[in-house]
Amino acid sequence: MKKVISVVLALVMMMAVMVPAFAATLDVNTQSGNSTVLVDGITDKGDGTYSVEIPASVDLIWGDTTKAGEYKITSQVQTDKRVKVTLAKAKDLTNAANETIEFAVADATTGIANSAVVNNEAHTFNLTIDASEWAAASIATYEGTITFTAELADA
Amino acid sequence: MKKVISLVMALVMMMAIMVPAFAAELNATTQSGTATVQTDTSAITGDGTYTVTYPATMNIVWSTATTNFEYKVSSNLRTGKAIQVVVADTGDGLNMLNASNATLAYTLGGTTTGKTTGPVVTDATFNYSINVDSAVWAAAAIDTYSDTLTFTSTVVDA
Repeated sequence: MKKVISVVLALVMMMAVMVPAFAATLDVNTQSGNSTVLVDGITDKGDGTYSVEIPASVDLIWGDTTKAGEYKITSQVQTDKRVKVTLAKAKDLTNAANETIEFAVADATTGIANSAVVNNEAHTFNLTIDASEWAAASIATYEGTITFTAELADA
Repeated sequence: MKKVISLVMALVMMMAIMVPAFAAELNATTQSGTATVQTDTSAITGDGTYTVTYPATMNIVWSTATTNFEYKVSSNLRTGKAIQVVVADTGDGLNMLNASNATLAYTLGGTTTGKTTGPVVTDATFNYSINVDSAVWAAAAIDTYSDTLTFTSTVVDA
């Protein structure tokens, strides 16, 4: 008997959470009615998708005091969101002997997409190296690192 | 005397409102006859009855090019009549809008004007579709978009 009751209760609970069909009807007395066309993109797609294309390397010519670079944002995100990219220097230019040339990421260290949907939207940045740094450095190959961080931010 | 007169009057009134029987008679010389069997539609108002069942909400899944829907008609109408159903946008065109009034354009396909084949049908089904171009999906910010379509039914000549 308990099993029967538990099965019945389970069925009742299932029916309680079932989504009703929501059909509407017309007849002689009600000849016209409305129906909603609905896309719930937030349920279907969540935050959406994006990609940021960044340079694998930024090549400097010895003595350059400024070097421009570019990254590109492609996104399809929620209406009130934007892709935000932040640049930061992770490591100064360093040679095999651990000697360094200091550089900076100047201007536009943060780039924000102009709208929720963009396609290869270009953003530029600049690296700056003071002339005195070049003058003080021994001739060698130096490598540094810039970190790009992408996230969704409120528009 | 008054009682007699009132009784007679009452009987006359009763006879006046009685429906005549129009009885036919068979006898030795007339051994067969016909009787008409007929329907009385005087109780039916208008052209009869019908029901159109349509979706109250048409859910479109993001990125879906074509989503199919249907509406059904059941009717019991006078001879020579049929039901016509028109599905149309009565607002600002075939555009779903989000809260910011950004648009997501779509088109209607299939039977947006359906007419039954006769006066009596049961669950006559008409199919239609909502179509969204892939370029429209690609250009839209992720959000909830909606529009309103109006279903209008009329009794028409078959």
